[in-house]
Amino acid sequence: MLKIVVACGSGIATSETVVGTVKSFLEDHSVKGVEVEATDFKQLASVLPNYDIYVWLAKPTPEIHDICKKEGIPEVNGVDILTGSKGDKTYLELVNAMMSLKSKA
Amino acid sequence: MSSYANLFDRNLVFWNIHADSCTDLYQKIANKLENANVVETSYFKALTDREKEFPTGLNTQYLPIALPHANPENVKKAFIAVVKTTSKINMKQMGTNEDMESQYFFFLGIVKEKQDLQVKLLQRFMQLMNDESFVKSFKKLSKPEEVYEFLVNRF
Repeated sequence: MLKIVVACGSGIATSETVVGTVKSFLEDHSVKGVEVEATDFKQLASVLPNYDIYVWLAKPTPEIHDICKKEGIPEVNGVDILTGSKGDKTYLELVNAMMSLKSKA
Repeated sequence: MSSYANLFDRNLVFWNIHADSCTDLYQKIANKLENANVVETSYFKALTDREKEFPTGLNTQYLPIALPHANPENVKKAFIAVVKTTSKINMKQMGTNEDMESQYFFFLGIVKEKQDLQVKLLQRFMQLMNDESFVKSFKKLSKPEEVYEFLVNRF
């Protein structure tokens, strides 16, 4: 089971929206076995090690970068996913992150 | 009309607001929202504090916008307030905290009970912001009443 966490400031508005968008994207492409969850920034540092991919909507702090580095968690730009403004390339970073984990497994 | 379109309110469309900074804008809109009885008196401070830490400016494909919001405990009733300022305001971008300018603001009043509905609205909204003809038409609107009708019909 691959686990993705999406974090914004309060974990209520934009992160939940991106969770929904990512879930729809995965469903549309028949990707199964991926869990997508939202969290707020306060909890992020403590829950982050439980996840495989981190999608950021609020600027990651150095502490968060360190955890990602240590745990080998790829960081993905969630603002592009929220706005969809990159068109076809909107999900590229996320897909690359998923593929990088696949090749490790 | 979709179920979430009724989050729009014809009394919460504020067009051609004079503001010289985002704090000035937040104060003006907070006053209006307090008068409309949709936010608590704590709203202005909660909003400015949150925006400082987690800015909400977004460079969508055709239009720079911002989605200012405070935590749910400062909101009495779910709402979305649509605001256009007379000139561009200096803002910071969500995620990167980089500088940007925006003239269009969607103040989101988020309450826990209606969170699902508001998330759907936000998804639909982002979809529409990638629709060039929607954005073009939206930018041409000059009266609050027109803005309200336009949004309710398109959402």
